[in-house]
Amino acid sequence: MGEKWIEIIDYGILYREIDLVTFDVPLLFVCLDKKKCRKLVLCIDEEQGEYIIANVNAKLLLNLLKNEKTMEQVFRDSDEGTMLYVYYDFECSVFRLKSIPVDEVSANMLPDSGIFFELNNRKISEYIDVLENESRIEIVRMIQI
Amino acid sequence: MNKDYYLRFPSVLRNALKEGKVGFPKDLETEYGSEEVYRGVKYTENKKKITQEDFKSQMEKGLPGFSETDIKSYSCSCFRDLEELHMAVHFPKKGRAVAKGIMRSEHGPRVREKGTTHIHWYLYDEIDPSDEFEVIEVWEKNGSK
Repeated sequence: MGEKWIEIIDYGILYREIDLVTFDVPLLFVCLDKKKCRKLVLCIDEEQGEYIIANVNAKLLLNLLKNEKTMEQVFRDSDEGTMLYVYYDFECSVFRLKSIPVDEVSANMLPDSGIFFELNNRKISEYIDVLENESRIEIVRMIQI
Repeated sequence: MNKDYYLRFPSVLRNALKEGKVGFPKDLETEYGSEEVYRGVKYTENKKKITQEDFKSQMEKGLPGFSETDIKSYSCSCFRDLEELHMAVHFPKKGRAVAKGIMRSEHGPRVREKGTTHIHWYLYDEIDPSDEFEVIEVWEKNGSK
């Protein structure tokens, strides 16, 4: 499942699956919840503990990693039409969240528009293989049903 | 690993090692000479000079959202090339710059991440490598270099 990342009040624990982009701290990464559903996480401000989280499936992540959709588009195309704005409540020392409809998420909370992921290394390639395998298994399962 | 070795690290890592919250991975390198690396640093109107603070780990800075049981939370992230750092220019938080400098084993051991150019550097206590780093790229408010 990976290392525990954070516990969010009224939401649950998220576990880190892979860091995609790190600067001095991880800025873009993928997490799993307890049901192993994937979340794409973007750090807005690490000092304030602010993040945007989008539900993503393997197909959408492949769109991101294979430069078929821009980073912003992947967030906006996330499942359920909403994103989670997660913030740290310093008074109570807990993470809280607000659900925001995708069309209300401002551009300055997302990657710049028109920019593709474009990063490629062996770690990313291996993760793409994992996602493609999962997608193939899911297709076979759907056919069998 | 000799427990006396733990005494060489900043208290937050030293205590986590002593209490068994974290351990160094087997691929920790303690002797590696020196290598040119890049490090993402904070760069704003009020903070243009590289300081020791720029090399502190997430745990030393006390940032919310970083696991005390993940050894990577105690490292200073550096890179052997600029590709991953360049992605950050397109993310929401601005006020960042890239610094180039020398990573030396006498300043602390390191772990090279497999499949990427990311290096986790575990600086010894009181080490300040800031004199050996210089800002080479500054990004403007709109993200342009």
